[in-house]
Amino acid sequence: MMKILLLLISFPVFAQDFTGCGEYKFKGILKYDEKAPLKMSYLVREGTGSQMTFSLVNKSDVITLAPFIDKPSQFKAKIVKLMDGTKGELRTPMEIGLRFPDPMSASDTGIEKIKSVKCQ
Amino acid sequence: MKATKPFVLPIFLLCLSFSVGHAAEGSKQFYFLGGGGEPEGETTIFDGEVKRVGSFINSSGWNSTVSFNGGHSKTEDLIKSKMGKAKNAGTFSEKNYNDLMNEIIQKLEKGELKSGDQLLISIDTHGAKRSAGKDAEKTHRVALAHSTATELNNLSGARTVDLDKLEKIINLAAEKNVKLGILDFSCYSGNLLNLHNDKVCLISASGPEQYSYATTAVSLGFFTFSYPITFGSKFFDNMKKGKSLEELFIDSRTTGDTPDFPMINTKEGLAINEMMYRFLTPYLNYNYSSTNNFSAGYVRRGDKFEEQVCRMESSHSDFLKLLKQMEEAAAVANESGREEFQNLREALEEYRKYQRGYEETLRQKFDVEKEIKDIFKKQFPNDQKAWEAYAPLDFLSLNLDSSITYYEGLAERDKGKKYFSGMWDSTVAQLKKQKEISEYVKANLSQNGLDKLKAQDEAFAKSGVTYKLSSRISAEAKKVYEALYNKNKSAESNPCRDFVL
Repeated sequence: MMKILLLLISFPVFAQDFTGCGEYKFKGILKYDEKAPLKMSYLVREGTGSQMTFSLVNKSDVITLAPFIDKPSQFKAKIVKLMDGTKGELRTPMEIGLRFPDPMSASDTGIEKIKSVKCQ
Repeated sequence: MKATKPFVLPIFLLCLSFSVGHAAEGSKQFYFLGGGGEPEGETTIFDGEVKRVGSFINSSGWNSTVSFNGGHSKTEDLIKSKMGKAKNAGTFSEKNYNDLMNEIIQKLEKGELKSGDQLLISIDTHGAKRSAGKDAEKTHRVALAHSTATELNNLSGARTVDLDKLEKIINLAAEKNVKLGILDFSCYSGNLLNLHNDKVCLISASGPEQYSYATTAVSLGFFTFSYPITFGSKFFDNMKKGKSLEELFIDSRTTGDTPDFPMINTKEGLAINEMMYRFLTPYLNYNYSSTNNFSAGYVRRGDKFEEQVCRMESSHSDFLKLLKQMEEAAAVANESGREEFQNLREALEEYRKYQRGYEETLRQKFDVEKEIKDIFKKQFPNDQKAWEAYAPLDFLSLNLDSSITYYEGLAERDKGKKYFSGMWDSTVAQLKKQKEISEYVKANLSQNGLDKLKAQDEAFAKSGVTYKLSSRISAEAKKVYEALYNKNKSAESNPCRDFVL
């Protein structure tokens, strides 16, 4: 008997996960952004109804993240200013690594708080 | 006077009871929704289900309404030909979904559906994991028609709707004693049970953390068939007049070996979920094709890795102990079916044994990371900025040439703008330094280190075997579930047993 199975694929989660200033784990992608102050933004859930856009505001962060331009990535970084809707800023990325996109997992791209810090 | 023959009276009474029963039979309404999120084409993976449900609609006499798919010509033809007796409420769009939910709510509120009437709602489409955070839906989101995940990395293009409106329907039906059954056969459908109410019957094709599976049709050119080898297809295939939802659930649950976990909200079902679902969930992860939740489940930091492995080992041991206790209890009670517990334990041991081997390759990979960091520190102490912020192995695997070309392009374009051209020039200089470091490390990594990296790559490449291991566990766990369910089956009635088609 021929047996063929197909997975019912999952779809992205529509959640806002910013819960105040702090250190976050980011999973997204670095993209050139003409509108960003330093022309580079980090996009989380790119292309979905709940995309979040984080501008890079320090020159040193632009340089640090440069090897990952247009590559799915993940790292820890700080959010020290309240977000304006889905727009925010990130600072001092560290533990930067590649991310293997998993279309079956909703947690494949997003932000997750590690610890809280006071907003500036 | 002729004496009445002794068997005539019982037959007369039987006929009377049938006739009274028929006259008193309440309204039976069936809503079949879904078929969304599929890629463009003529057919969908739901076509087999359309045929099966069509057969029920045409033979059962239930008052049926269908809002299914949209945009797939052969699927739409099937809906017309196989579900001709149903009212077609149009494609599975958000508007049609909301209109139908509101229609049901109105029927309940206005008493069109009253005590003793039966209402069956079936959702069969692609499903999403439940959202996180305080604004998360209670259930989960499911895919609508005319929307395809056009880009699989971020699934853009998919339109979805949450199933939370079902809660109002559940509350109204419970309040008005309308018999309600809800079937959610999408991925992550176990989240439906978050709406548990002990007066309604809720059935899902999987747990909150697992995919559900559909059987595709096989075409032989002159003939197309779809054999029911998954929970959902078997359930729909078995839907016949006179069967209860509980009976259908149990009869279909042992079908196949897909790594899912169908759920039901009876007392027995909820108790088994509580007992084994959390333990079983990690063993239903596997790597296969584009799915990699087996390997993605491991942390990517050496210092957290051993902690994670320790937790996994402890949970594995607890689960085995629990199964052993159940097996011994079955032995004391002299019940048959002890081998089901043994077989599940063996399947779990087999999976864990494979995991341990895989973990060893990860452990060795983390050793190589230490070696790389040591080279960074020893050979490039003054270039800390170029290497310290990165995961060492990812740093080595980056294609820095493409980044250099990209930023050189920006520097060239912005050369009149002092601030930006300076920033791009600094970026290019740093990238070139990183390339130099990366090449040095690759050339000077010990043979032992290179071998360890190769071993991990090979382990990952071969990890598709986890699908087979996971499937075996699923098949054995389904037998255990069935044994436990039947053993603990209460004599009391429940909404799933009372819901007879």
